[in-house]
Amino acid sequence: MTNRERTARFEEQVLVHLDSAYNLARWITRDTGTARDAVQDGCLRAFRAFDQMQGPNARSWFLAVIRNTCIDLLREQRDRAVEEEYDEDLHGSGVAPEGGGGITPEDIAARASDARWLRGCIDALPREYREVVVLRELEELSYKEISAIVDIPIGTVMSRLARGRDLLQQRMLFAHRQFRR
Amino acid sequence: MNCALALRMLDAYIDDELDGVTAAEIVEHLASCPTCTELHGHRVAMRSALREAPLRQVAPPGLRKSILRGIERQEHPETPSRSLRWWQAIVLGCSTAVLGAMGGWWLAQPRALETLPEFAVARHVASLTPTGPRIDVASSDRHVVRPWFQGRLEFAPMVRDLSAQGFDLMGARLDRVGDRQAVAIVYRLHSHIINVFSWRGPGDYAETEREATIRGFNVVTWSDRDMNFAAVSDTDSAELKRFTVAYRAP
Repeated sequence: MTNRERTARFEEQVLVHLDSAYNLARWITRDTGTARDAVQDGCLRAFRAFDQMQGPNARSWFLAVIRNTCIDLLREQRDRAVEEEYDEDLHGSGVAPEGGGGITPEDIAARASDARWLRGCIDALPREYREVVVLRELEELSYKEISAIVDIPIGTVMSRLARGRDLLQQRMLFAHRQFRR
Repeated sequence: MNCALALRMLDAYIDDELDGVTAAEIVEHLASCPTCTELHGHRVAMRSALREAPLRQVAPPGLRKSILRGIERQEHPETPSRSLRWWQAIVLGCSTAVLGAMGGWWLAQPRALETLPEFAVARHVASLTPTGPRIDVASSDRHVVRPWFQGRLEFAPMVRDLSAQGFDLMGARLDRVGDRQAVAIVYRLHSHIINVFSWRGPGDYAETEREATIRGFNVVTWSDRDMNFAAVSDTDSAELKRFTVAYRAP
């Protein structure tokens, strides 16, 4: 296979998922500049490893490479600055919300138009929950695909999603109450 | 199915990841449990909120191109990218401008002449005007030409009557060769002009004549004690040599 053919095949099978890659990188890194760098680096890594690509699902493989690149990049950054700590007082109860404290599903839906507010809620999630929520809700991937990308068993995907949604729901309700105050 | 199990399965149910039997059990439970139904409502509302809001980020324009360039560079590190980056273009533009300016300046400079014979040739060319050679004192009489330089020159020029050999004296002028004050004695052989430059200096040349061709002109140089001479002409070298011998003859 010539270099030209290889590049063409890479574009066709992998780079078609560039938007997904960037979206994932943006949500993992929570910064557009870092996301851009991660995707750029990740694509070079992916191209080098393209011949060893496993399985038929190029998107999962590509997103796994991008995710690893993001985590490496964040680790480098963390050496320079401490990552914002997750607020355990707010999110640490581990108990599913009971009835949502008087907030109806309609209240949440009403706030949905405010994308900035929602973005803030997702960004406040710890990374391990944030990434599965984004892969499920924004990329609409199956548990099996998420399991391959994040490299965890399907059962763990299920429990992380459940926990992530609990946290997100709490966060949304909390932000909602703050908004009302 | 109890609530604990239903709550654990609820997300998989919403995500349509349960087998048909388990999914049917969840449906059955939700129909009889208001608490789980409320949570289910929240989940569904949250999902539609997340999917309806413009949360999905798309790759910024230019990222794809930049990636392909990166791959190209990775594949062919020895061949630099053919398209210039903006800063490369600026650097290249600036250096071209500087080189161009330097080149222009250099070309605008009068050409540096390395040697005194070259200066002599340059002065010879400069003396040739359409109306004849430039002459300060025009006379075929050496007894007129020689005294004219008294008080104008720090040495007495050698003016000889060579008409017998075919070289007609036309006159003389004050000149310079390089930074040296010089005198040019002008002779004519048929239509050819011969300038004999002489200037004072500690023996720039050997006593024996040296012939050279500079810019198409024949040049013969020699030194005589503290005087230096350069005869320049467009006549052929044999004639110029003959002139030199006649001029130098005691």
